[in-house]
Amino acid sequence: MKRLFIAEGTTSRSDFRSASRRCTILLVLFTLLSRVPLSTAQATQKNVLVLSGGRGRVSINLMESSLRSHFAGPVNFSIVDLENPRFEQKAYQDNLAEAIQAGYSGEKLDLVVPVMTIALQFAVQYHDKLFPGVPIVFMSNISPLPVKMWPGATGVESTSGVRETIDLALRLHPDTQAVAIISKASGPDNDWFQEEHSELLRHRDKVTEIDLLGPASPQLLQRVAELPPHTVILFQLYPEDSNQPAFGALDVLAAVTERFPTYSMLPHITVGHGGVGGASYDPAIDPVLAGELAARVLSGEPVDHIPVVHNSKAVVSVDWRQLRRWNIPESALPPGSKVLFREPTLWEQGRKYFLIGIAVIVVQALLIFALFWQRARRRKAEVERAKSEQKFSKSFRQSPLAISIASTYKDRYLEVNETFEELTGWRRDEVAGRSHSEIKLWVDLEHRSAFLKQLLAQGSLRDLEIRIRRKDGQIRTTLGSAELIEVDGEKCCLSVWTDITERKQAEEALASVSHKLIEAQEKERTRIARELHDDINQQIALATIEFEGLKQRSGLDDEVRSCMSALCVRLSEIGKDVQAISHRLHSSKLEILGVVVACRSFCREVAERNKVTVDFTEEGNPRRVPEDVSLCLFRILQESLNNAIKHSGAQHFEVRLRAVSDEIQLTVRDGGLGFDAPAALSGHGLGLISMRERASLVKGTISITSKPMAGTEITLRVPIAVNRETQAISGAA
Amino acid sequence: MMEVKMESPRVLLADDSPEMLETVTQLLRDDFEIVGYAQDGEEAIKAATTYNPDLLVLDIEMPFRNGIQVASHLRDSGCRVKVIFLTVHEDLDYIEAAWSVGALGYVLKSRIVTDLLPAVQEVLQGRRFISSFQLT
Repeated sequence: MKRLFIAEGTTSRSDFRSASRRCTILLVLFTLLSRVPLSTAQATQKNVLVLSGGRGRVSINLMESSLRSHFAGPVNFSIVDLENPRFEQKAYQDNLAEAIQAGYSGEKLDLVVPVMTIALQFAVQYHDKLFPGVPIVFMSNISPLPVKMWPGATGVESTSGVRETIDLALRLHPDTQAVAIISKASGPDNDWFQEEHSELLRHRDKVTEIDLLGPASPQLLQRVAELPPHTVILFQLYPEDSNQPAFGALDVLAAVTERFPTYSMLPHITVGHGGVGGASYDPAIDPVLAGELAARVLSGEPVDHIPVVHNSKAVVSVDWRQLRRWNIPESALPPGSKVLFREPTLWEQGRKYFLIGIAVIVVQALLIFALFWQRARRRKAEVERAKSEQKFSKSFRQSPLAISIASTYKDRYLEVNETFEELTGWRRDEVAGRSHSEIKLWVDLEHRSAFLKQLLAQGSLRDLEIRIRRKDGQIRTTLGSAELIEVDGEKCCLSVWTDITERKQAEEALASVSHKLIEAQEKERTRIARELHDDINQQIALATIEFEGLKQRSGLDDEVRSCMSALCVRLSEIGKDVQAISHRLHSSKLEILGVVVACRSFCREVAERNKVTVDFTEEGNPRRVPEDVSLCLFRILQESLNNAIKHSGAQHFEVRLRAVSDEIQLTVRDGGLGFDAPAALSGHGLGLISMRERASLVKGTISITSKPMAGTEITLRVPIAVNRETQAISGAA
Repeated sequence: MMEVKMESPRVLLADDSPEMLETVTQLLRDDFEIVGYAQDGEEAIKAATTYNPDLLVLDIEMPFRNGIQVASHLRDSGCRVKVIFLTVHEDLDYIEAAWSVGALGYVLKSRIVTDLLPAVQEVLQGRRFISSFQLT
């Protein structure tokens, strides 16, 4: 792309005067001398000449991008900058036209793009001379277009921003009474002035229009000074070029903005120089639309068929400092307004630090909150714990069970409760720190050793019968349970004691009654059996002997003798029956022949009577057995074997009598139906109760193993103390 | 109470029933010397030790010590007296017990009239005698 610089547009006042003067001539010459003929470009390449009326490179670049994005072929851009302030001069325009003509003579141009109104006016005016037949696509034109469009031209017509600027001024200053227009009102400015004038007519019922027309001058300032209060300025003077007098548009602008809120359709000139703001067309839209139109033209679409496109969107720009100065809140601005020169707020200046500070404060607050929360929770937990401790302490103190806690290592009582005090007669302060031996609590010291040993081994103990000695010497029987616990890292024994003295006595009394009943029954049976045997049976025997004696006498006839023989037999039978009754009531065999013979004999009798088999075996020579134990063994054998035969349904039974060193065991086993042993033992079956009572008479125990359909085994174990002071029955051996 | 026949075998009677003692005495006194009577086990042991009889007619069921215990004791203490048990028990267990303590005779009281004299004669000659009976 080549660029033809005719003049460089300026925005600052000092640059404007010096630089533009130099550049105008030098750059035209440079351009003319250095440009490359367009004819050297490829035949398909499109040549576009941009006449820039001062919109700046940004807009032109945007247009170029838009064009290239809509047109695929190669495009060569040439840009001619037109100097705005001198453009009103006819000679300037003629010279410029000649320079362009000289530069582009014989060159094929495909499109001319005038940017801004003055460029369009130039292009239209010199069209036939400079580039006849070349289509024109204009952009950023804000002047009214002719009713009948120029042939060969189309483009983008932009809003002037007049209406939007006036609306903005009156919106931000509702108390405005007058609007002063400062404008040269000549050349292109006249179009604006006329538009401003007609626009203000809409508001004539509210505001007065004051026209301050003419170039920048001290007189203009004088007139400004005479303006009434509540006046808003519409400023429409361009900055002058270097040919203008020393007093220029910017001087006027500075003076005006000193006193009045100033608005302009050229916000890029006034904003930043004391002006409040203004509205102008959106500069971002024009180039895009123009680029699209240019692409259509380059693509061969007849330009006259392409209607002019309107960019009606205006952008409001305001100076934040002036808003502050005139006490205008930002909220009064129309939506989408651009606020320029906004001083960063304290927040914006130190946002990073504020954010860090806030974060620190938040973190600290959170930490403080967490600390308070933790503290509150701890306090709550402490209160709960205190309550719980109080509750447990109260439960411990007032438990109906006697409780003690003692160190197992130091053998010292640490704590006892009120019931313990009642049970033992020892007060807590008398017991604490002392050992059981000091207060002589345990009656059976060997039990205490075994108790402790078992506790340490197993960790807990349940329901041990313990005899204790009260402070007053009274012996009480307790049921004790203990658990090995840890208190402050020390192994302790938590013991619970229940006084069962009365219960025990009652049980013993009951057992005693029961034992006495059994004993009485046995005694009575023995007595009757003896009566039968010693008296009745002896009498029968004697009678039989006498009959036998009589029968031996001579002189008796055979019939009498025969009768006497029959009587003898009869008497003998009676004697046997009586003997049998006596035997059942009380087994003389047990007494005379010993428990082994009696048991074996009983098994044989039962087997014969019931047509079953009973295997009797003996082990360990259980012959010298105390009389009470013999009786117990025999009675329980009778009961259990009779029960087994009656209920088991079995045909075969085993009885084993076994003596070990300090115990004699009787086992009765069958392979019959079986039964629920625990239920039977806890039930009311008199047979089992009776057997248990009998066993307990000789300190024996009965165990029953039975499962439905798996038979029954009843075992009686009776301890035989070596020094037992019970009369032993000598057996047959 | 004691009749002395110098050449007759000497017999000691032990039974807790006086009537039975009387009956036995009547059956034996013609042929034997009745050296003494005892009415319980302790007396029987004492009398046997004192009189050292040839024969002891011993009831099984007696107070203090029964006949089995008496016979056992006498045998264990070296007394060589021959023993005939006189009993009402028609039972093998008793017979076995009698044999096991060294007795040679086992006579049922109901058959005393017919069996006692033969039993005494058999036993004095060192042979066993047992009354015939039906096992119960």
